[in-house]
Amino acid sequence: MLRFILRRFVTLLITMLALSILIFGLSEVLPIEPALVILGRESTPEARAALSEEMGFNRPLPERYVNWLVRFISGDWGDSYRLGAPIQPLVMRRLLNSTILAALALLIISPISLFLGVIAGLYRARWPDRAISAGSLLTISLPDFVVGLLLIIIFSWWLKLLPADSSLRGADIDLAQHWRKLILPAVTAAFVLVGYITRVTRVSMIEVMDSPYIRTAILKGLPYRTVIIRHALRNALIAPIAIITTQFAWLVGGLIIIEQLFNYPGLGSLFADAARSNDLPMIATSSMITVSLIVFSQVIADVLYGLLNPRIRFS
Amino acid sequence: MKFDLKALRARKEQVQEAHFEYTQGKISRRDFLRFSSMLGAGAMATGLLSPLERFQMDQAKRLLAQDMAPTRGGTIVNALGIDTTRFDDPARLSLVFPSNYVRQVCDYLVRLDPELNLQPALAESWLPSEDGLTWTLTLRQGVKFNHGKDFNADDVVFTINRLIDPETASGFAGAANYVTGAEKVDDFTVNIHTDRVAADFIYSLFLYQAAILPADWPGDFFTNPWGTGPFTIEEFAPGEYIRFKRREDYWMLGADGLSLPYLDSVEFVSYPDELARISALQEGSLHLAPASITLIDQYQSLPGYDFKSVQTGNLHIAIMQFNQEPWTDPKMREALKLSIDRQAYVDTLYLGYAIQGDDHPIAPGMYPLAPADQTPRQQDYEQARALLAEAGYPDGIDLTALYIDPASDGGFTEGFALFLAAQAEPAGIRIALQPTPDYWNIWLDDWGPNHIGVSNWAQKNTASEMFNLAYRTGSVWNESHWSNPEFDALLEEFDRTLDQETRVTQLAQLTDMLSNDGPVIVPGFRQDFATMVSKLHYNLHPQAFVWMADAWLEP
Repeated sequence: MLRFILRRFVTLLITMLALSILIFGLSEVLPIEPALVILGRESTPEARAALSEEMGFNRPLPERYVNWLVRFISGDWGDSYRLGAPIQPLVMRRLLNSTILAALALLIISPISLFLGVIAGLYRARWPDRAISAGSLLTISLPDFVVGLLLIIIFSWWLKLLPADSSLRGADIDLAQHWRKLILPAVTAAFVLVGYITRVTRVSMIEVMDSPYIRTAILKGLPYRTVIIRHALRNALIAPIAIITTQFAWLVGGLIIIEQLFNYPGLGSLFADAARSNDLPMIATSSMITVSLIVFSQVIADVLYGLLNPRIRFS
Repeated sequence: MKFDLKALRARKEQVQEAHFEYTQGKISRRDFLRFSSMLGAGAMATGLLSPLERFQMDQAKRLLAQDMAPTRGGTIVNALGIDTTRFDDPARLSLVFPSNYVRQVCDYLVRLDPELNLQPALAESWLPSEDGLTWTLTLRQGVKFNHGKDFNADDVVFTINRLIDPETASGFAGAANYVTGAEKVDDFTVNIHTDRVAADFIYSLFLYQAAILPADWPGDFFTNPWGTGPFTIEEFAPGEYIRFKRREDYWMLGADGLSLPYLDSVEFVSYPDELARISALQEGSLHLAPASITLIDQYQSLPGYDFKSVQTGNLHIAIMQFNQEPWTDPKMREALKLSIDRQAYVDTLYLGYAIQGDDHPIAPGMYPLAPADQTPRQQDYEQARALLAEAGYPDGIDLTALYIDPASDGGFTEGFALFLAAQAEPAGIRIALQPTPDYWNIWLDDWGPNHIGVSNWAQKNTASEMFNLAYRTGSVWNESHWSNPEFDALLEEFDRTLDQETRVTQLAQLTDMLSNDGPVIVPGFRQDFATMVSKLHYNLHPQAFVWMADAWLEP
């Protein structure tokens, strides 16, 4: 097991190194002149040239890459061109906000989708399955901004129950004070994923119920309830749980539209703004963070999968 | 033109003369007041009002004091700054949004109010010397910076000399390139020297960059936000929000005789998404936000909010580069100008919330001395086609329009580019649209033959500032590469003339030259829109300046 985890981590490191070269190379070929972005269009060419020199843009490419990587790993992510402020505290603040939102969304998604998926799998092709499948198809096909708008109109404009403005004030997010602001964005994000995970769970459940060992258990005369709970669920939930883990990265770094709709200060909108305003250091940082999130959650999913699945655990 | 020494010495007579011109209807009331305040004679001008006007003014003041007495307290959350951007140095500001944060914390020497009248601020009065090359500023006494230092001449000398220092790399040095230095006369008197007579000098003291910083300012504005202004920074999260708190000892007094501001605090919050703005308005967590005209119905249906607009001098522009084919031929420039229906521009792009333009950037009523009776061209396809044929294009011409990519300005420029292409087509001018992501890298380059540029400009403080930035031969932002020695000579004369009536005539000649022969199409001047809680008393500024010191909220 330890070797398995170790192996995954080595692969992870190699993947991230390769991706860092790609990200750095990409920011090289983009037609963006950093000095122009920083100094603005009324600056003189001389001032821009001097700044380029000062920022080290005239050094050889490999040297710049190594410098950038070393600084990135040591936590010095430079200053944002757009906001003029150090990137690290900005990203950490947003990362915390996003993680809380993502955790809340997962808290909503997991029990609902696992429960519905199992039920649909057990009642395959009967009415509970049909209803759940149709419902999950509907939530999958509704884009997040439509869901968000509907929720805003119903819960904050008509019923006046929940705030639609999720912008935050204060040094850090404070759950006791801000929890109401998190509900609508979290539910919107959950809505988008719940159908997908339900369908994965359903398929997984069907597969397991069809497998020979379940048939054996039933034929052996075990009570149906015991078969489901002790034998089927354990295996059927492996795949959905692994998928939920990988979706965590998307929930943290990818909720661009939801964050903008509710004006929630998360990572996604910070990154989207960076891309729009040619903010190279922020683009590079955001790409690295997103990549790290995805790769890490993939590894965690693999490890979880290994822990849950005896075939991998014992090999 | 020779500088008129006598006229300068007899400033008082000049103001009286200007008043005469005003009563004769030769210049507008607004121009008269602007002119008198420009020469530091605002009070004198008030003294010259007719008894009826004075009565009306007093009446207004009394009404203000009785029924509409401003009340104190409250917080305004606004989304007027599109972005809460950090910057180190007010001297390097180039965008209006971050400049609005400086306006809450710092004062300028003078201030342009929402009516575009010049008001004294840290400078109480100003007078040009006899040769017109030195301006003597009398400074306000008893003003304190928010870090405890008393305001005096040293701070003004420090600020001005810093602005013109090439090391500072301030936009001020370019826009007011005639300023050569500031010198202290005594604690509350400063001389500012110029290397040529600049009639509009005093307006340059309200350029974004000219906020007065204390002489002991160590740099980095957000670490050391030192100023004499009405608010101090309480909290700041770059990219998210900035919160200002009322200062207790601001020098400017309100209608109730106590220190401004009326509000306890002001928050600028970033709401990049208009839908998010609307839902925040809907639930009352946002009180004042910019609004786009396309959603006017939604804004007008918000209960408890008013939809307001203010006329601006901001413009869309189509640029025909003067040194490129076919625009070297004045017939071709005229043909394209003739193919535009300006009323259609006003009606389709702004639902009527705009005024027509006359192919020059000086909007009527929005600039001192601007000609009021501008009569824009009527659309005339027949004549446009005739001119095309005369110029050697009987079958019409194919052009490419370069314009700011919708990804970077939300389609604001594209709207006009589409309109232009549709309007020009029947004249035989076929325009292919080419959105240009790096427009601001190439906007001053030669675009080659058969190109036009489509872009936009913000209003400037004075006509002189606009012309010296973009229309004088070789000026820094001369995107059209327009070069007309006659225009340059007249502009120079205009800059150094102090006689008001002459300047009105000169400016009319300048704008006529641009309109008749110039390289740009200016179809109109739009209004800016905002929605605000009905209880808020706040005047939108045509130049998008935000100054919350005299805003107040009904209980």
